Amino acid sequence: MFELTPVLLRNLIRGPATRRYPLTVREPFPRTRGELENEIGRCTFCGLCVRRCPSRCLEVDPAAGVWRWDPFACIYCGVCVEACPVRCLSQKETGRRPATARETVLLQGTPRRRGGAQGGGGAGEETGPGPS
Amino acid sequence: MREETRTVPVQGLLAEVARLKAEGWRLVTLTASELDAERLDLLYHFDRELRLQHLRVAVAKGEAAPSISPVFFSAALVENEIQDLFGVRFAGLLVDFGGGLYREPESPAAPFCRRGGPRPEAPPTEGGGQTPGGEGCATR
Amino acid sequence: MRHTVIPFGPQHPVLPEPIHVQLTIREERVVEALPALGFVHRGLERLVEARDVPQMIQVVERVCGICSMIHAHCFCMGVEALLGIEAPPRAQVLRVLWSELHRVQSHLLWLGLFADCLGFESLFMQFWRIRERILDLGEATTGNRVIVSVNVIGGVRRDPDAAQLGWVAAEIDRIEEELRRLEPAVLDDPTVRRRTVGKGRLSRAQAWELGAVGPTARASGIAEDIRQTNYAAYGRLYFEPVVETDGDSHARLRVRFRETLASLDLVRRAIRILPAGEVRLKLREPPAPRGEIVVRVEQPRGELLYYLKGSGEKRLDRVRIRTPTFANLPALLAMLPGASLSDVPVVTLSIDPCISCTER
Repeated sequence: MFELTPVLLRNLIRGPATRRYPLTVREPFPRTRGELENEIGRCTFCGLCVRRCPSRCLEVDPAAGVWRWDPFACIYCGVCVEACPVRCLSQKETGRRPATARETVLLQGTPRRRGGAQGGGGAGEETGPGPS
Repeated sequence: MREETRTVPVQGLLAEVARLKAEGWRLVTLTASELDAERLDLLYHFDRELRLQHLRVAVAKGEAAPSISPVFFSAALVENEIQDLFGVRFAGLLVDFGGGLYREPESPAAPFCRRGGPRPEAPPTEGGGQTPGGEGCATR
Repeated sequence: MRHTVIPFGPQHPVLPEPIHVQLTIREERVVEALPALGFVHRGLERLVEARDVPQMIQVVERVCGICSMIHAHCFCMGVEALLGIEAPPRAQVLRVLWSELHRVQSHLLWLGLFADCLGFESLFMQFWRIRERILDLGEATTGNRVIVSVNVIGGVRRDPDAAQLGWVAAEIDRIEEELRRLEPAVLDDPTVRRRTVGKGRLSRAQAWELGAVGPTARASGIAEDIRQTNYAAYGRLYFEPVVETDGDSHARLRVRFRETLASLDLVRRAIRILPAGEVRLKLREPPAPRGEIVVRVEQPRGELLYYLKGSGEKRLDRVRIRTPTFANLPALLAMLPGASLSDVPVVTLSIDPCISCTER
């Protein structure tokens, strides 16, 4: 009848098993698959990430030099990161922060020129309300 | 497929299944897949001591197939699912949801048949056998 | 004699996923049980039309939220067999390691839910606290807690180094110690025994006849475990299926608890036999499998069957998934008549229902 008592007494001495989140936040493990990031300056807009994505959360417009990602449709599987030939995509170790409205991440880079080298320097990041 | 697979005609299915049961095989599941616009492929998978064996039956869409639930009662659940999703009618099904296991009256008929062709009529959801009403509490 | 019809589900505190069973009660005993399914039917099998083979791995992983790695493993095994390739030996052992960690995590989840359904909330907390440590092991080695996305055609995506594996082995030892401390509380406690012994009895003949699989069948004396077919690296890891003969809810509880400990031991031995080498075959072209195949693996709830049909295209023709809870539902519906109304939640939960697997 008192089988759980030793466990309970041990727990009383050891203290709570829970963390006082958000006051205490656990350090993420290395290489956890979190939020997606793109160094838009190096992106060649080849579209491989779009083709490999299982959840259709990416869009690329090579003519305009635009890369769009829907963080709410993304399943954070990391297949795009593996597929990217120039390794401009990476995943942070923390997940995306909670949001109060739908967002889409839209990054503007320099469009690919036919036969020419990719120029550097992309413009800033825009987050705007996506389709609801 | 790797294991023994035999094709049987629809008429000989029940006899073959009963023979397999007598030899100690038990039903694992049924698989239905669309062959083309007119025909469905029904596969019956059997297991004995971790070995598999398969039976293949070709059924025309709209044609009724005999139910093996009198031999293996557990087939009733998967045959009901195939009725819902592929529009096959299993004759003699012991517990018949009449196409209403997953589907509602307003759902499309045979949603897993995508190659077009003659689609069977959506079977009535209040079919024969024991069909649960599904509405709340009632005292009789 | 008055009959009362009571709906069990689709929302019920003990059910992790929605299933509806219409119970006809006479004087607190169940006379008839009729199921109604379809609350979480997503039609995932039809996504083969719109996703090519590597993308389908992510889809089948999401059939079930608890045993997702094992779905992906089965799918990858099927495609690899159709393509005539085999994952490297290190990848095979790593797949076993992660599958067994998943099995531990799934059984701990069930043990916690079962304790909760009996009202034993503190035991529920204990089990889930241990489960968090397993999820941490998964997250550190694969990148995510449950839906690990670590299987690919031709191997696995992550390769834990020796330091990580040493930490995993040490954690497994600590977790086993904690579980053994909980063993008397879960198996010998008089209240737990009162609520589970003799409830939902399934005889061996009934279990065989109705097609029960997994711990539900093994608790009734059927000594079959698909891991005995030696897929992946199981051929190199000797193990014996855990079997009980009573066939009641307490027997199912004992089977799953002992399987948890057996899986922890399998993880330890897998780390010991892990060979060096690569973990992923480089495929020369996108996979375009041709032919039909039936693959089976042992999921925490029982035998999982995948039927794959391809015709040499990038997209498969058909993926058919038969999950173990689908096979155990007829057994459940045979167990319910004769049970008392207050035992219905216990008996239902004792087959470990994963309805999102059942309905895909």
